[in-house]
Amino acid sequence: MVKDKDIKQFIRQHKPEVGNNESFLKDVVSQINAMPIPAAMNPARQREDCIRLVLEISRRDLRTVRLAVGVIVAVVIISAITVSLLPPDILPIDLFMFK
Amino acid sequence: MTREQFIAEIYTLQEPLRRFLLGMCHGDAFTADDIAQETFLKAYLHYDSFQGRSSFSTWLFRIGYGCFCDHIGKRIIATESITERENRIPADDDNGKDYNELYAAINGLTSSEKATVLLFYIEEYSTKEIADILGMASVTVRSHLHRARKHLKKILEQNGER
Repeated sequence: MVKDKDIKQFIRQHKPEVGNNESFLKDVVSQINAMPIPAAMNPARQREDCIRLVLEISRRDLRTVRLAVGVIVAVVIISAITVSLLPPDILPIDLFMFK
Repeated sequence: MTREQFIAEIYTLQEPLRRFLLGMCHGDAFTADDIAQETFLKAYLHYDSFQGRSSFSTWLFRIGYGCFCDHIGKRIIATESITERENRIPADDDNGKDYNELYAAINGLTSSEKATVLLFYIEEYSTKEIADILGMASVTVRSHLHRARKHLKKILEQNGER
């Protein structure tokens, strides 16, 4: 009865052996060296990408802070207007006591 | 990754990739090396598309398998009989003699089943990585493995009886 272990052993025993490593590598490396460097492998381009990313994140953060401040200011103004328009008798404290 | 790092990766991965392609090409070292060379050049030129979601070796093997499939496609267009070519075992090649049994054993399998067997047993990739390389679901890889094991068991039993 052939088991999985036997299949593994059979394949490992008969696995292909590659030769001419040196000449193959020499060929491939010389062809790669003759080609232009892809943008993703260019260190200057990588640096530019990092700077762009940092600027984009900081811009996004600044936008969020501006929006939050705007919302808070609007809420405060609306609250102040609402309070000033309310009849004095329903207010819990007398806002005009110093008048 | 810089160009120098890419070349260093080639030094590490050239042997497993060429071995895999040699198995897929049934010992035709010339064709296997041709496809391997095409694979490395394609990987270098399209390095921008490597997103790092899988390992570099998985990505490289995926390109290699794609190049192999393109090669098979071209062979069909060239009207050369695939079975005729695949059955051709390099008998006069000293290296080829050792591999005859393996090539004969995997001969009845489809290309994706052969690839699954070679990647699983020789290169020791997991089924998930093989699924990534061959562009199929893990379930399909497992079913390929199951079918290939059944086929190989039959072959080994026949060999044992002789």
